[in-house]
Amino acid sequence: MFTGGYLTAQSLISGTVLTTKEAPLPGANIFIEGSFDGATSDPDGHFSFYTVKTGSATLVISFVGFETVKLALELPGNQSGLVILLKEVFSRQDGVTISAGAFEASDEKKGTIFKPLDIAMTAGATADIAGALNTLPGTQTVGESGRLFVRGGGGRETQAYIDGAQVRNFYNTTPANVPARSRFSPFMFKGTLFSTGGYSAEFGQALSSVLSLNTENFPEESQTDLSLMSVGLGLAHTISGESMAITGEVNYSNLSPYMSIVPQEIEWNTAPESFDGAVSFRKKTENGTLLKVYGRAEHQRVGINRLDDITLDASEDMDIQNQFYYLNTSIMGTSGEKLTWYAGSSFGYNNDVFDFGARSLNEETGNLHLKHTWAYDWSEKLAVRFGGEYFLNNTDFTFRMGALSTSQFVEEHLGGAFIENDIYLTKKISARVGLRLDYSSFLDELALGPRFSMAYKTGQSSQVSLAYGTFFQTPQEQFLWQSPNLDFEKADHYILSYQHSQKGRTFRAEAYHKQYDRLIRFDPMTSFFHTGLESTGTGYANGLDIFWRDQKTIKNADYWISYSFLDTRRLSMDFLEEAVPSFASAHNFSLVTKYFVVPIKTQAGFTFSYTSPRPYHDPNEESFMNGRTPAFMDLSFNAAYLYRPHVIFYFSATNLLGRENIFGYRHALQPDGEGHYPMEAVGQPALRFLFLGIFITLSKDKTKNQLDQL
Amino acid sequence: MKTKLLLIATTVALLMVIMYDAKANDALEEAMLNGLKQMNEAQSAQDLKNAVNVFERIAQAAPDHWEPYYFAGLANIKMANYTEDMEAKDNHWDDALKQISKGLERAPMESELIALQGYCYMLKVSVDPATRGQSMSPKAIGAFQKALAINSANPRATLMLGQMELGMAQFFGTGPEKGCGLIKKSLDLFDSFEKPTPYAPDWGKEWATNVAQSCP
Repeated sequence: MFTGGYLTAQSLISGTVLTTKEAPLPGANIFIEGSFDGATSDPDGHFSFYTVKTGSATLVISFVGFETVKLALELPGNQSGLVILLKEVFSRQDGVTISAGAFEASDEKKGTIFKPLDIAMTAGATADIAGALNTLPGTQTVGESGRLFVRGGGGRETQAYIDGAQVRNFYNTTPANVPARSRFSPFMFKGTLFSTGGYSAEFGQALSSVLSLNTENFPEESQTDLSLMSVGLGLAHTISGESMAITGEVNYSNLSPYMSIVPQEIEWNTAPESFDGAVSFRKKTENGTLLKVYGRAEHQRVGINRLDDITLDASEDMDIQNQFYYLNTSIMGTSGEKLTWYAGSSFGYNNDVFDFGARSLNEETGNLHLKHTWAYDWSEKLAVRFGGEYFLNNTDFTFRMGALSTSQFVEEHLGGAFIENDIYLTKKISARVGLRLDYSSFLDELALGPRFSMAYKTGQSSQVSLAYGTFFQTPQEQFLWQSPNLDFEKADHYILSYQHSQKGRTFRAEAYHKQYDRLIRFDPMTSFFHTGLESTGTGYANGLDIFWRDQKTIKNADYWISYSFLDTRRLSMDFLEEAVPSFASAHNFSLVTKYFVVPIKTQAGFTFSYTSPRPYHDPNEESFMNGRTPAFMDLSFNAAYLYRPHVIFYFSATNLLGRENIFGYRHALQPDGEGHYPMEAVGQPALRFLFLGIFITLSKDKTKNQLDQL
Repeated sequence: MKTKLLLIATTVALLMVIMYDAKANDALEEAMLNGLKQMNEAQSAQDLKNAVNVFERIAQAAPDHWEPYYFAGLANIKMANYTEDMEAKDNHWDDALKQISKGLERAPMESELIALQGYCYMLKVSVDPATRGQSMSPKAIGAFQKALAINSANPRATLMLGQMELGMAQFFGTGPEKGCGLIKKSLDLFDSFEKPTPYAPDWGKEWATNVAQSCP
């Protein structure tokens, strides 16, 4: 009888859990709040359990990704045949991310196509960021420059940012037609966003492309890194504590020993030599605020002997000295759950001295950038970002010819403000709507640029994105002081993109149209002090970019294929008629392969690149820009051998096929006695570049100490 | 007399509290053991999901205990064995990491929880060592070291640190001495390990025994 009494106090709770679309939901947790009594729904969504609880109780039905339902119950009392509908929670992570125009490399974010290590380990790039990104679609190889040329845009149309703040003079200074390298090591960055168009309203002052690099948030452990390379030495040391970390590094490189062994095509008076040092400091507070400071100083020297510009007849010496200082500070934090903020600044100073003996050019630039942004989450479906920035760009040119010298100084204050909304309409559709305002004191111009992009998920793993935007950029400093009546250069982007991405395989196709307006034009009869400068140039670029990456089909292997088609013409600079600019090529193809050979602990890779013939102007011909260079082809190799967890040997070689690539032709500014303009081919500085390095990391590894004590 | 009565009353009240507490603890123990039984006898992902739900129910009803979250995490880790899909495996490990951090909110210095966190990182590295090794291996090793700094007699942390060390030694062709030393040490620790509660983590000895067999 006692047990009977006990039984009557028990209540049976049973029912079915369904989604709002009335599909059974197995695995939901159904229980009485504050008790152990409950059950899990079966494959049909059914559940039943007994509870001995009495009085007022709450029945909870929960499942990850669905809104929790709570029902009030009076116990004891049986409840059977309950039907509970659970509504799916909208989560941004499940929503579709707009991918038009962007390539992202990150270890942390899901669904990115690239990892930071991919950039460092691309054959042919020799650990140069721009070199690696040049294997992606949308870029055109311009071998004599080494910079990023995106979708028919010139080298200066790509703007680089580090931790949100701009970096001018991103590449080192080289003599004309000697390719530059980016000053910053790819190993510094944990997240990279390379956008080939249609980018966020956060970014201004770039007509074609944005390269946004983020440094490591916080180094995990204290360590010393030592690099011994065929071209120099490097030493870095990191001290990492609980809330603070500091890294210092010094590097010295001198290509003189290397160039004395490996034959060169250029006559080097002074082999490239550089000395740089950098310090980075990190501090995090308990509430999650992170402060990053990065400072860098760099001195470079190089000298060559080449044919002069005027007659291409006599040889002349050209000596370049470069000094570069850069300080980048950023602080990121949150206020409450919904507001995140960022404040950043960068200061850069660059000094180039080009010395030709009898004449010289000294160019000094100072660039200050201050930026503040906020992001506020109204809801899972709506987020707003807004911010403002200020740039101060100073440029000082001094020309000296014998005893005569002249100086010009340009100072530009730029203000920018933007607002942008991310709207997640449904799981399948999301949109980004933004507006950007730019003001230049020098141009005395206010420009308003709308930005719009959206993505639609067409299937489980495929999506269509489109993007539109208007972008402005101040013309090159060297023209600014020559005419007071210039405007912002302008480009409109229209992009349509399709992406299919599934388990280690990604396919992307992107078509675009870009309309250039208000480009710089000047009188072709002038070469340095221009006359007739005006902002009346126009141009367009149409193209198709195809990308395929497969990390799955072959075990331990990874490859990607990029193809870019480009149709572009412009009427700008000294062009008298609309023509294809010399940096543009109609077809660019890259195949990048990487293979990890487990038995010998080596990652090896080949890169093959092809660039179709590029135009050049031959003044001996009637028509303008009618010449075509031979096609460019390169096959490069690299390998990294992991000798020990902390010792890596690295080798790379470019141009295995030994092809004599020609990038273009220089022509004399004056005809010779027979009325003929002499021409000279612009080729590679050396047939190939070989690199060998040993990288050693020494860490106070607690594992080792502890293990040694056993 | 009055004091005596008060004393008796207090004693009775105290006893009742203790008894009530014991009863509550009995109920917790019973629920935990039931959950452990479901987890250990699971034949499918669905069975494991049942176990996860049992532990989550206990976690909300017994807010002072970290163990329910520990085992909810462990059951999620086991669920990953029932799928070959890398992304699905990742999702289970991510769920486990979430449950472990909920446990750590209740007991921030619990050696077993921190060791289990390291186990998740170790598993995540194992499916994609080429891209994850560099960033996630130090996290796993760091977790095992922290677990051992808190409790140097934690056999599971010792075992898994040894396993990591063996993996590295195998890859780089160096000797297995250090790893095997740790594995053997973990076997001793397993033998002397005494469960503080009937539902404390006690798994891993079989794993250690298997690995130890391949040691010289």
